[in-house]
Amino acid sequence: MTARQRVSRTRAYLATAVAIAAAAWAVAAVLAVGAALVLAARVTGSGLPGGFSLLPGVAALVAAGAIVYRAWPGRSLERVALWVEEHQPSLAFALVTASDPTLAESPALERAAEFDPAKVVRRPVATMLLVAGAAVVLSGAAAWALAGTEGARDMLAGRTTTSSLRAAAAPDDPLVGFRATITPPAYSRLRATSVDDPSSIAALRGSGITVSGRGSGVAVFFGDARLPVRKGRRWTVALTMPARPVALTLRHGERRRVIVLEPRADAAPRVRLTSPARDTIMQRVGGVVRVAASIEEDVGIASGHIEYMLSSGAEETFTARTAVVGRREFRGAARGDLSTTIDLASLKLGPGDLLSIRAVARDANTVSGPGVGVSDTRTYRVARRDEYDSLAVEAGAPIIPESTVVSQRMLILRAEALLREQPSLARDSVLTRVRGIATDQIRLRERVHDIVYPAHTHAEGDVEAAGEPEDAEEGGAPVNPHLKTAYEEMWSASRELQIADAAAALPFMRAAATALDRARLANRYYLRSGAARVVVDVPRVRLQGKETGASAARSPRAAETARREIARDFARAAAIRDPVASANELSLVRVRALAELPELAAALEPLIDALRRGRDPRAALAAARSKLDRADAAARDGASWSRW
Amino acid sequence: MSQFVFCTGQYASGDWESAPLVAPNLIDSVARYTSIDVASTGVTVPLDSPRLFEHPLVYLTGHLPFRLTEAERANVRAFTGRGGMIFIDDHNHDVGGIFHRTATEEIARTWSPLRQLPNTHRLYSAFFEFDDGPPTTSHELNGWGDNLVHPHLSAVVRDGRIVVLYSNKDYSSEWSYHPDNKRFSSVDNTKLGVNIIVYALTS
Repeated sequence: MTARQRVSRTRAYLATAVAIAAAAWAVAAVLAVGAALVLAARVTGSGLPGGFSLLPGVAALVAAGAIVYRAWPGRSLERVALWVEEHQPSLAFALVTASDPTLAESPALERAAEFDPAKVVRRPVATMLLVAGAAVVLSGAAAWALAGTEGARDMLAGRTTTSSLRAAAAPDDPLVGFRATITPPAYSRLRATSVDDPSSIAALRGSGITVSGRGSGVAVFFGDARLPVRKGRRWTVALTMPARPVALTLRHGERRRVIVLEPRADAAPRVRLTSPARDTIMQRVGGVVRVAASIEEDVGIASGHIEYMLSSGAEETFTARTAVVGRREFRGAARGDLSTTIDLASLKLGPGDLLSIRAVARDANTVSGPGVGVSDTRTYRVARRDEYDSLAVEAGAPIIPESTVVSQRMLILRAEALLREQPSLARDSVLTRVRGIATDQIRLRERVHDIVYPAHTHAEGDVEAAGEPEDAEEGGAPVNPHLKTAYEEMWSASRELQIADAAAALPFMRAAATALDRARLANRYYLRSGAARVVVDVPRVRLQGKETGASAARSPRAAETARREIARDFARAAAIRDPVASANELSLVRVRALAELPELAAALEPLIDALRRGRDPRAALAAARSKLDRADAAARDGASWSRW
Repeated sequence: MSQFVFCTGQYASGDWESAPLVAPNLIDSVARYTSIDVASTGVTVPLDSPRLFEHPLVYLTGHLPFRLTEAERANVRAFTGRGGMIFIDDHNHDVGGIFHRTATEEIARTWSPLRQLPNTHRLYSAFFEFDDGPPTTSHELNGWGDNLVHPHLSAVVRDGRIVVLYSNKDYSSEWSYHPDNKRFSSVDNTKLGVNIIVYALTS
């Protein structure tokens, strides 16, 4: 082994020793400062500000840094060689010289620089580690004496928090410094967490919760039910996160502490069908539909599939069959995609059949689930032969009978024949024939009237008396404007015919025939949602009917009462001067608000926290009041029968 | 108290407009038997429309798949949360039918699974007295649909109040005739409809 190799080995020994010593001094610093803080908290009796909880960490860094600075000679071999020379002066700088890489190797110099690395480092390293170990023991003893085993363990785990210091300030108070350990349900694959001195515990429904604290004599109430408390050096109570918010009340003598149990629901998967993008009506069945969906889940997706339903039938008889394709397991992934194809030809779709496609996903929730998420449904419909020009065949206007057009043409022919024969006819004969044409024209006009104004049907011959209504489309489907024109022209024609002026009537009759023809040939588009409006003549019904009773006025809603109660309880709780009592009362208000007014519940959390931690609660109080005012405004703006 | 307007709900899937005469028939019955100030025509409101909140009761029916979009689902949830009531009738009268299967699934997803409504429920005495629960329809008696007589209605109840009333009895067929033809019936079969409306207005 050359001199340089021996120096290198010595450097490795020193590095290990310095690292161990630095770690030991860091531990000692954490314990010492933690113990000092606990002592200070006890002396002041009211805990310490939040910034003090950072001190142990800072002290650990400083202590470790100081040790490295003082004990580590440096990384270069020359500096380590100098450190060896310092501890073994008999080398007389031969080692430093032999370590110089620029000099040629010399057997004589190697012999002069010979030393045993283990022997050189033994004493200084032992001293360094002994001192560090003593520091750990002393500071640990101080920490144990002041904070106990668990307190010392918390210090080492970096949990010297404001709450633990507050607990240290009140060592005999079992309602301070307790700890809640939350174990989420196994299916969630989440890790257990601990929280000290919580005002509220938010966790998945079904999570196991263990609350434990120092001392004894604590009674724990879950809502109104008393829970069994396991006693020992620490009191412990175990429970499961319920489905609804509940107040967990810790009582010790006359004092109490309210913790809000805030269940977090495992939401069902959110499923979005990305393809097909829209509903479709098909004239011919064929091709392949590509179906794709994306899934998102807050905890984890178990499985997903594409489901399609084929329904066929009409009127009152429908049959349906459902099939599942593209099934996929996701094994707890937070996101996933589904994709498959459906061959339309293989489904043997017939006219009028409906194909409804959607994506379905399940989460792994074994506590309250599984939660099932379903996408929107896309529908493929096969059009019937008789509806190619329309979306639906229901609720349309009556069809214009071909006979109407034919009849109008016949009347024109009769009028033209009369005009041709008029010079050779007697006056009475002309009058008889023209009045016959007029009567038929009026009858034809009434048939058109019944189509144009269906809500104003009348006895034959009443047209003149009744006239047409002002709103032609009231209560009915849209009417072809050509039909209205025909009606108007027929009106003029019949007027002329009634005064036996067939020549004057003919232009109107021809115009009516043209308009009827246009109306007959017009395309018919009937949009859905135009269901017939049947008007009930309420006064007539009332006159014929009997008054057998009256409905009671709508009674106030329970939730409205609940909102007012929350507002009243909030005002009372906020007015309490003692911050601890106020925080307890506000926690009870929050339990109720979580179900009724979630926005207020969210605003109450920082307020309760501020009161418990001794911070200025005014900003949080103003925010909570603002949320309550908004709920009031929403209640005022609701419909007259509405809850809110 | 504002005028009661009978509201038929329009949903994106299915044939929501399959019983157009139910609305005028029930309006006629409400006018005939009660002093409720009722509008002479009903309205049709899309389920995802904020106009839904103008009505205390929404009537839904159909034969085809009953599936709500996310917007419709959120809106009807808010609607029932604010005190509204939804009456859903299976126009197929068929427990194995497509409407029943999809509607019960959609109800469970939107609110919670349906529970059988006891025949002593206040609904059956809200105006007329129905000692034996919901009246049997002619469609049940003539073997139409699933060939069953359903002795109960189902409901989703929140805080003691029916938020969703569900019927397999096909009242949509039973009540879908012109109100003027009511005079030919010895017994008015729409009386349960009056109870549903009065219940929705007073509970």
